[in-house]
Amino acid sequence: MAHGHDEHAPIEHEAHHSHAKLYVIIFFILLVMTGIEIAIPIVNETVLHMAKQLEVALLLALMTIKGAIVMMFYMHLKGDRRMFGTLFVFPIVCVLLMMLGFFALFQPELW
Amino acid sequence: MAQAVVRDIDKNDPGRGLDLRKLGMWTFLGSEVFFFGALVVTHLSMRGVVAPSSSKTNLNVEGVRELFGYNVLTSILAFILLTSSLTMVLALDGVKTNNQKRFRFWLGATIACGLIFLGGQVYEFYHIVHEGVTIKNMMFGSTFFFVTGFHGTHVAVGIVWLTSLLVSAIRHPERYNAGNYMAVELGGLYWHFVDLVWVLIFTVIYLI
Amino acid sequence: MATDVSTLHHAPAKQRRGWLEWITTVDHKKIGIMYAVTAFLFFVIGGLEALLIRLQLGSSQNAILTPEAYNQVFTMHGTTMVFMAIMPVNAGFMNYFVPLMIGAGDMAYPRMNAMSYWLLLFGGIVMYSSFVFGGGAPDAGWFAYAPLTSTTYSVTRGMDYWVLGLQLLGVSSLAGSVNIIVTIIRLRAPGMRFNRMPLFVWMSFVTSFLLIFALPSITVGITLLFFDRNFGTNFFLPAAGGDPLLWQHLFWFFGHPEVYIMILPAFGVVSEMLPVFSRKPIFGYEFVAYSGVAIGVLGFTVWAHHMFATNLGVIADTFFAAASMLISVPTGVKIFNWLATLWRGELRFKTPMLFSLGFIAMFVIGGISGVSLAAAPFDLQVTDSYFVVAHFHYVLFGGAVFALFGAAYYWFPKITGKMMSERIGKWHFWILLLGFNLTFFPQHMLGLQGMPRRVWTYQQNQGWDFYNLLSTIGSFCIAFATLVFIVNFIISLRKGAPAGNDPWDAATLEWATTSPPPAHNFDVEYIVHSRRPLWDNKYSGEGRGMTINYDFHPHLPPPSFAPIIFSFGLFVLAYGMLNLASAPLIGIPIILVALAIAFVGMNRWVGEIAQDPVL
Repeated sequence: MAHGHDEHAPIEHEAHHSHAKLYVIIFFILLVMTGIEIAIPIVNETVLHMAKQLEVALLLALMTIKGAIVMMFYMHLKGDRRMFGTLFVFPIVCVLLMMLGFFALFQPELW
Repeated sequence: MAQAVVRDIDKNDPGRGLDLRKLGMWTFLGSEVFFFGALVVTHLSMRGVVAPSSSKTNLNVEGVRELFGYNVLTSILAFILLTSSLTMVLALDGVKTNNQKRFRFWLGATIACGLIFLGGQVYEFYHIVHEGVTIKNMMFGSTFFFVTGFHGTHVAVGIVWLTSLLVSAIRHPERYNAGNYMAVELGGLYWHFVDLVWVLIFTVIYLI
Repeated sequence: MATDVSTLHHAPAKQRRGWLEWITTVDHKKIGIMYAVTAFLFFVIGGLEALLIRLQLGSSQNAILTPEAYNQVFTMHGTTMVFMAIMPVNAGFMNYFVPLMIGAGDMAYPRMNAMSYWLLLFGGIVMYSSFVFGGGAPDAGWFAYAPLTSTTYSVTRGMDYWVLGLQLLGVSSLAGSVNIIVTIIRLRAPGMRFNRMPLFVWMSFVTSFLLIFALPSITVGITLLFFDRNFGTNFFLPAAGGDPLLWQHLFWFFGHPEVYIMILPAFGVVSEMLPVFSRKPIFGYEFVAYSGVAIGVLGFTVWAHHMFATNLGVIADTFFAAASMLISVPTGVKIFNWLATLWRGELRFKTPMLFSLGFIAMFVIGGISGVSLAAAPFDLQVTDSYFVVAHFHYVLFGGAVFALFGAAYYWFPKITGKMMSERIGKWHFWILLLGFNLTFFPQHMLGLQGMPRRVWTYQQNQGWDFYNLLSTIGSFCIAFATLVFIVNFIISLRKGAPAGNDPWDAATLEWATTSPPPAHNFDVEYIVHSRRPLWDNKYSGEGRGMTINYDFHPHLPPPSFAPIIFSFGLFVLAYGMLNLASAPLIGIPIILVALAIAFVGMNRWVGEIAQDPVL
């Protein structure tokens, strides 16, 4: 089953190049971002006093970046065939629209 | 290999050379996106309804927010699941570099992280129920348990999946190697997806 | 696994015979036949339920059925026709013909394909077993609006059976759709680019995406419902802070794409049949294909047009009305393309052609009443009336069922190697067309006169007797027409004229192999150069449509017990879940046994994959 990358390449058994270092770096980036996420509501309440909307927007932005990093590096979508990414990202976009739709319908006072 | 019989489509075809099982896995994960999307939007739509449906609990709106909001336990859970993603990808790296020892060690570490996460979640549920919020008596609680419970179920399925991989790797040494790692990669994709869902849940349910 | 390639080309190790051959089969053609036959049986059952409904409504203040029985019958009629008749017939044709049309040897995951079928059968059995074990069938309608589904208003266990049956059917459809998608992306023959695929394959592709995106929503909805009914939650119960509209949103977010899931494969088969019987290529291939994609995408933005009467607000109403009307554009594009295909064609009025033309005419009527329903103010006048019933029967019966009967006549020769009787077929068509219009056209009038749908009976002085009587007479015509089809089917199966490979002189790859095709589908590999490989080879010159690669070694996975064992485990699991809340001492052991069975199946499955890595 040597179809990891291209099954028309000759079946290769020699070891791939290790990316362990990159994965650890990514882990620390994600860790720091999670720390910032946790800190935002606390800092906002005690020091900054931003508007709630701004806080939510910041959190969602961080969440999106974290998710994108996981997808690109841990799920290997970066550098993988585009079909896989399409099959996964298209539903995500659709679901975001669906959530906005539901949200609007359940909060009619927003209109 | 059955896939060897899969014939060559055109050179520029977007489907050319794709692994059959990986293609199915991504398609399935696309469907899972909708599943968790529907779950989370149910919670978001209903979380405003904090009024207890029966007066078994004395919590007011602030109390509920506090109970379900961010706390030390949930950040530990987030940390553990994040770590498990790292260990999973290191396990895959191990099998791809033909390093059986590293592969098994990190796979075992991933399973351990998953088990700790599940234990933490059980403790969290117990704590919340102890405070008087159950799946029955408050919409916030019902939808909260539903979303996190389904996520926990996925973690459990992932643990079973990875454990069966580990067992088969121990029983048949060298079954997975640099030339045959798709089974590990698929389990990893599922595991990372579950982690991805937690990234969403952690932000949207606990922090916001 | 570095298995020696030559060992893979042996014939399947154990070729089982008789009924075991069908139980263990992983051949997409046998599975397709089982799908279609099972679905037709459910179609007949659902049709008998429809006859009961029409008998009850045939005259005012009738009491053939009790109100409780009436609720059960109309609920099961809708559920059966949607989930167990039309969807699986579509799935059956897709299973049989998508691999053939793209020149593949099998589906991408043959064992998972078998599992999809068994889950359909078991899901149907779970649902129908409610008549026996549940104290009554589901009785809250196929739409299952809260709070009708609550234990207060639906006192039998019927709705629990409904939920668990639907869960099995959902897993079946999900697995089937993933299978179709992967098959189409990956297993097309060389040269069969996306823009050379037959239109039925295009529509199957779109339909499968609709399914995997829409199903999760109802899965969430019915799981919430199951918890409401069994574990004391209040998701849909307004008295306790729940929201019945939440159900409607979750249901219709699935339910509206669902109508395209039922009709798009029908569009596909009609787009295959019309060119063949008009003797010219489809007009505007790209438009027919991409308008199908457009319908699929837009289909996700219109769900709340089923909810105009729930006071969504002016802006939401306007949005959903506009989006719904927008769908008529790609649909209209298709209809004009079909008409343009007929234009100056050498029309041959064989039975499949008659059904295709009947489809276009009936679907246009249903489409026009659909556009009028999309207008929120008009919808508010006729919502929940028989006008709506007439509308969706024109698109689903006049549309999907006509097209699928046509497909049955069109592909019967390929599946069995024998022709269906043209004479009986034409009788079938005309009786069905007459009976269909007699049944459902008067319902437009009934709706405009204010007759509500889902009612058990009505008063004599309301003036609805005449049209209801017409409708009931019509429904028996439909039943008679179906009987004619069954007779034709049996006679043709026994004494039909031999069909040959390509009885219709058609254009697509499934007609390049024998009728019925061998287990491995094709002896050679076709390299496709055009959208109409057979026609172009015949009429434009050898090699213009396709060329042949003789150095080709088909491989088939061996028959397997794993799919049916695993599915049976899930089937038993459903009964365990049913008893989990009411009688945990029975439920929990059943669940454990079920998990053990499923584990045995899964274990076998994994073991077989290790030998032969196809799911």
